[in-house]
Amino acid sequence: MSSEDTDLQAFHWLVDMVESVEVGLVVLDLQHRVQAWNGFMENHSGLTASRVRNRNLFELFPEIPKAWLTRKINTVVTLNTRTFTSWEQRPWVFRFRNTRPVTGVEEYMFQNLTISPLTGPDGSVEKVCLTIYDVTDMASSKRALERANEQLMRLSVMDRATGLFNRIAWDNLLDAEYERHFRYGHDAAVAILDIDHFKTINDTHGHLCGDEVIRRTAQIIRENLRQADRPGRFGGDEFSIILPETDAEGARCICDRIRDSLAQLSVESAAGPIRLTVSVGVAALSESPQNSLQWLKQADEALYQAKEAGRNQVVVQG
Amino acid sequence: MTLRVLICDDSAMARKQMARALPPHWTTHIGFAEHGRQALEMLRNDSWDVLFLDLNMPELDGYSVLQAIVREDLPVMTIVVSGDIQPQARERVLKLGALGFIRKPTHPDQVAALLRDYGLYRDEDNEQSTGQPPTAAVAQAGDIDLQGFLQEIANVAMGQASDQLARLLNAFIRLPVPKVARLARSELYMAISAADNRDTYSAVCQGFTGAGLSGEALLLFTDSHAQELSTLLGYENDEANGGSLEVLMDLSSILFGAFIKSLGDQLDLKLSLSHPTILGQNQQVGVLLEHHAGRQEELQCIEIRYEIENHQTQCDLLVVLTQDSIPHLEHQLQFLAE
Repeated sequence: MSSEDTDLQAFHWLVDMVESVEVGLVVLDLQHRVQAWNGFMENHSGLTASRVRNRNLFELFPEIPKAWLTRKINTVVTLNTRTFTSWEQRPWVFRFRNTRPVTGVEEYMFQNLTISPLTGPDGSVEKVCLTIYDVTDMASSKRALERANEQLMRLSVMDRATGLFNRIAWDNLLDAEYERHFRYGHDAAVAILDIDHFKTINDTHGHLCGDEVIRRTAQIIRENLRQADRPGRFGGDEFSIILPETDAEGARCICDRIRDSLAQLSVESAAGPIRLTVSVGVAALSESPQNSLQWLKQADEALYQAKEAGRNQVVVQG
Repeated sequence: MTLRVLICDDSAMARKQMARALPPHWTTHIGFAEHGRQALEMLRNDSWDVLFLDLNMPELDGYSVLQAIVREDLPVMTIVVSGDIQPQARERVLKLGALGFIRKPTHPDQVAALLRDYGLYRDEDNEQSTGQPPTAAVAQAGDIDLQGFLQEIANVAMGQASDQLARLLNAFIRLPVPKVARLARSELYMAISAADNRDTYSAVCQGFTGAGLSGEALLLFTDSHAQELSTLLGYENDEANGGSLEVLMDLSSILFGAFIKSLGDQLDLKLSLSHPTILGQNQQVGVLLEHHAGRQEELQCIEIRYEIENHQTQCDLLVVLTQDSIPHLEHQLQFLAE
């Protein structure tokens, strides 16, 4: 075999490799016309190399963000350096449908992209090579992991029955609010709300109805609060609310509104509609409490006073 | 022709390289200064004909030395030798009175050509002179340890990378002296020396591998700087959404590519780059770097803080070499130390 034959054969192998490798390879000239298009690209786009040859990439694929890709290509050409993009920037460059009916969970193929300069004999950049990697598996498992973490995070701070903050998470928020006040001197108030004679509701209508009353109460509390307020389920039939940037008067106003709304609530049950009232103790943050526990204790004392004074009312301390 | 030549550079390796690059049998005396302040003292006390001056040095940098030479009217011809190859750096030093500019790493041909241009050296000098060969002086340039070796390699690579960055951003990049340190894996977050705990960072990393040398490059910037960089790169507001990610990927492609290529060139290695990955966004430096600490390993770290002039913007480039790379580096160092 002559050396020319050997060269030819080596070239043939190389072309075979480029054709069959499981990454997309595209060569563009500086006018973005397709010069090379390997098997991976043919298979996923449904367009053969002969059909795309010398055609403008952006005309062939109008969904490719032209300004974005052109900017990257220009950088590669002027600086004669490789550049990379990740699926986290744009999930795909070429919109290839997912081809896996069983294991595929995503609609489109996620792609990483490398743009490399191709230089001519004089060393100047004449063409660029796009390498397209299918990273769908990696991207979908990373996204699934992020979703799971988010959900775990949510579950770990939430009270299941009411959707409000659970006791542990709420205690932390109270600590943080106290710290903020201590450092910046902002107003803040905390309220504890207790359903009057809840035990009777449970005993008369059963625990399922009791649960429904708790859920509806939580819903009404939430509806009457502002974005920054933090409602929590304190335990049983007790609710607690952090009211940031709120003074004693403001806190009374909000808690009265909640008390009013709950007084109009009527929960259906087999034995007829259930009506309820609540008592609320409020403590506006002053200089006296030494920590968040003492602050909370003030609200608890106010609640006790509200119960003593005949229930269905708001008592404010501070 | 016999001349007195002063070489001022904070790196022993760079001083050695410069002394080696001088034409043989050319000078009678070579002196060395380790920073600008020392160079100025030597210039005031003695007469020197030619000064080869580095730009990025601790104590007193090259720009300040040039200014002092003009101010005090010190009779010396200064040639700047720097890894900072931004066109603006060259313009600035020529304006400050430097005679010429030589790129690091220095090559004998380049040095001879420049000296010939200024009539400081003729080819006949080589045969006629009885002067001292510079090789004898090279030994006085100081010893190079691994840290110094890495620092100078990083210095040159940093210059290459910043030139690309300057062209991309159309701005002047102020270069620091690279910080080189050996750290345990678990202390990696300490490599970012000026990290502010109140600020959140985004980071991208890219692995590189060559025969005997491997590691990872990281680029970090604070989120408060992302907007400024995004504007510098010319992103429109409607792209601001994915903005900081785009900025991170654009800058890292440029900086990593140029830095790693230069690193490879200097160590005579072809380094391949993996695809970059986003390490995290909007997090504290400790969080970004610490949770990757698993194994016990001693790492070789190079930290470079690029500051973009007039824009109050900066980014940190961190290049971390594996423990396994150290024998290869030591081997390379032996050639230089001879």
